[in-house]
Amino acid sequence: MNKRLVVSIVVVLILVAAFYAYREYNRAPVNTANATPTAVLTGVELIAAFEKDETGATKRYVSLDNVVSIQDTLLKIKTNKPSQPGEKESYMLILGTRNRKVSIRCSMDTTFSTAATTLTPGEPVIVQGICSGYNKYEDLGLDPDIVFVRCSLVKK
Amino acid sequence: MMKNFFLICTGILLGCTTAQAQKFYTKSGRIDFNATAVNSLEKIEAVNNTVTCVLDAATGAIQFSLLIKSFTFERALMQDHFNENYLESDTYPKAEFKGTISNNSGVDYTKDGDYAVTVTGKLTLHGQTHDVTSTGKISVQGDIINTSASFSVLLSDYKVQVPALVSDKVSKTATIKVACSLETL
Repeated sequence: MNKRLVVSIVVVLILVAAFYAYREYNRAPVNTANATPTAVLTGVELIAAFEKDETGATKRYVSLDNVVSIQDTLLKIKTNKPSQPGEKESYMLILGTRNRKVSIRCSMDTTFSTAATTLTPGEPVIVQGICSGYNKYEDLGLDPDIVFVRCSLVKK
Repeated sequence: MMKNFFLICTGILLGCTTAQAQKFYTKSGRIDFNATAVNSLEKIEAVNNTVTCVLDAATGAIQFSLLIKSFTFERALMQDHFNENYLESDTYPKAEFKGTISNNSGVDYTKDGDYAVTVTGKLTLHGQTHDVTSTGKISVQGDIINTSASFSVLLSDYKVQVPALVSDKVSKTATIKVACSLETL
């Protein structure tokens, strides 16, 4: 009886482990549109955080698992035409103002590219995405950017 | 009449010189990364749509900069392994390329057309820097310069360790495809 019970428990544990491994293996990246953001702030606040303490801001905001919500002004929409067959058009929202040195660049998730085309530069937007880092482009002579990927448009 | 002719010629010459002296750039270039092993049923590939590129038309100097965490995968676990185990993006957050178009004098940035080019330079990835040479194409379309290239890198050159357990899926060599549409800086 005990032996059968032990075997049953081991089998159940193996099945649970296998199920967990299968789910983890096939886990999709976080859906930024539906996720609850771990941080909600304005573009100005985010830039100030990186300029004041880049290491601390990187630890706090740059993570593949955490969704950050940014409220800012839409400066420009950049459209990338497909370069190969099978590719889709991709969009990047650039947040900021002309007199602000640091921009926030939001590479839109392909699922949400249609929403991006209804936007008008100059209007306020709320974008949620994964912060991939702060690039200062030291050798390129360009203004720095805070970069986001897998972005979704929450609100105009 | 001679004065007008002289003025027109000067204007054309200045226009050509200006175009050649221009810098072009993008911050939304695309790089496709593919390290799928031969016969692997699973694709090991990622896309980065936030690549920065600056091209100096006068000298042919070309530079790329990108954040490793901007590579997106279809599977989260693959992206986690790419960042945490393979490229250690917390320690080495960026990849950079600094190079020159070897046959830049053969590219007329003022005239629409396709130009085959060779680019030579240094690629810095995972804290390691190595020489890379690649063929590519520059397509001039008015004020827009489209660049494309494809080359391979040996992951071990950049101290990227591929565990034996996944060697049937992850190739020792990764193919990098670059596609950037540059505008005037």
